[in-house]
Amino acid sequence: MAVQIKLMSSDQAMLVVDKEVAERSVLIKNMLDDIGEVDEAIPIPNVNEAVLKKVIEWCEHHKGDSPSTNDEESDSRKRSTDIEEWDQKFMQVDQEMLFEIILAANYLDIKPLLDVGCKTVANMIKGKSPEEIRKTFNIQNDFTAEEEEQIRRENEWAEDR
Amino acid sequence: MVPLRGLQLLSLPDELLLQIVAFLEPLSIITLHHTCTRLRALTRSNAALWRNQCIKQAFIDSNPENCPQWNRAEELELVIDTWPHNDIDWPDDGSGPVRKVVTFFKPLRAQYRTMSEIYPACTLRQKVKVALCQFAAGTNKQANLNKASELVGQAVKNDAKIVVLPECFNSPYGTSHFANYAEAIPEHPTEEQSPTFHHLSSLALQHKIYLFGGSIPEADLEDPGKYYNTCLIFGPDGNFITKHRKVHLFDIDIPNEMTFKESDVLSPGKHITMVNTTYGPVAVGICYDIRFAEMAMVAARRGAALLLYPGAFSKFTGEMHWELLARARAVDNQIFVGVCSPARAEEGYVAWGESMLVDCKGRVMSKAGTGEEIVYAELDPENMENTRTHIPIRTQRRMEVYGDMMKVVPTEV
Repeated sequence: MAVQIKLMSSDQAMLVVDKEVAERSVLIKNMLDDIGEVDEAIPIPNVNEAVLKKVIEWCEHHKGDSPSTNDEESDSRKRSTDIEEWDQKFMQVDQEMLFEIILAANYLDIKPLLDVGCKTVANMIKGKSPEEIRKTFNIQNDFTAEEEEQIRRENEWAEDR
Repeated sequence: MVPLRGLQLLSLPDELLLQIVAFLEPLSIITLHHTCTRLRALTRSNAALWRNQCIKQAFIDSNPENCPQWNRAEELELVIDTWPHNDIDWPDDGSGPVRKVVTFFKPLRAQYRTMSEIYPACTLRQKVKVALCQFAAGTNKQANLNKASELVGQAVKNDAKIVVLPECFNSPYGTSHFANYAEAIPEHPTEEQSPTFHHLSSLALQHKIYLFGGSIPEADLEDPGKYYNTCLIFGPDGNFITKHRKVHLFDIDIPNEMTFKESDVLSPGKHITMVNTTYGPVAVGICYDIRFAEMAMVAARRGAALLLYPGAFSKFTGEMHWELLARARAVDNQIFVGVCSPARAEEGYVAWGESMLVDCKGRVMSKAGTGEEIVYAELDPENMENTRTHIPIRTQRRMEVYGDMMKVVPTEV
């Protein structure tokens, strides 16, 4: 049977996962490497149960993936916002959960999950006007009249005339 | 506005927002730049990155597939606009541009406003091997076409992706021959109307190359008796891209040396011709066109990376100016130049030969002799980039001093 470890979410929920799955998180992997076998639950103080479960779901699905990309590959990684089908479905969550996943992936150091999250947001931004972006993400237009005027000038070139 | 609640985009720390921005293409980054103060500041620090990407994007956008007018001067007003963000304070850490104005190419709009903006350092997108096929045409058109096939095949074996044929490659050169050899070239000519068109198209397709078909005499379909000296250009899919009709006709009279009057038979073209290839934009002129620095300069300012001139200079003018002109156009514009001549014939019109490719510094990269020969050179974006960085004349022109050339009235002295 696979070695299992326990994780404790910020809201004190205990989750039992295969070590192999949990080690998709570089943070947890380093921790386990440092302290060796432990029986006690590892505290994850920045991530609540709902989000942690979601993150573990992702790690389960991707446990067989090759180790995360190195720096040389990161360029080609950046060029594409393609997301594989499973990940697309996985990311069909409300915005709050989406940003929670991004924060958690960043904290737990799961680079591929962080990328999927960022790509999902990038795809939500693409092809929208500034006003549509504001609406989508609940962003307050806080420009002064002067700045607005400057932006209008900046925009002129892009308009189809 | 919905009251702020829960976790949202702007709750993310800058570091993560920047990771999202890294997945955006330039136009989306600019849009983001216009949403709110925080995202504006954030994308500004990214300025150097997206500035470069924007320039690349502009070139991609100017692809003829997106913009069919690119090749048709009558529908194309030369458009060079100042980049809108000229009032942004670029970061002083060296990541931003040297000056605050960047040029943008917008193929369809506005007027040629000013000529003093900064140009992209390089317009050649990737390395490419160019071949110039130097050969003499005889009186048998089919034999001339076969010869072209043979040399193009050989050029392709040596990895050439852009292949150029000489001026008047399917007929002997001379005003008396033009009418006999001329072909009508509408948008989709029949095999009978233009065998040369179909021959070149299948050659380009067979070898998957850009083929610049030197020039042939073209008959005006609507106006019988009117002829042009015309270069046909085909893409790697065998599709006809566009044609260039020689703009400046070769009327020359040097006492005791030579007299030639193309305008007896030919009509001039009216447009500068530019083709946006995968490797970069390529402009074409024919022979005498090379003497007109203005035409080359306009093409270069539109972003041409390579100027091609099929040309049949005579022995007299060839010796005097052939190499000088090729190098001059290159050095003026910091651009690659290829000049492709027929081989020197024993009888009839004696062309100069010496087809050559010149780099952006004005150095001859390769040069043919006078006989049948193919010359090759690999064009390297680094050469263009270096030249333009080291000798930055493109950013130092003082157009406000030169004024509008068209308005200069010759004054008596």
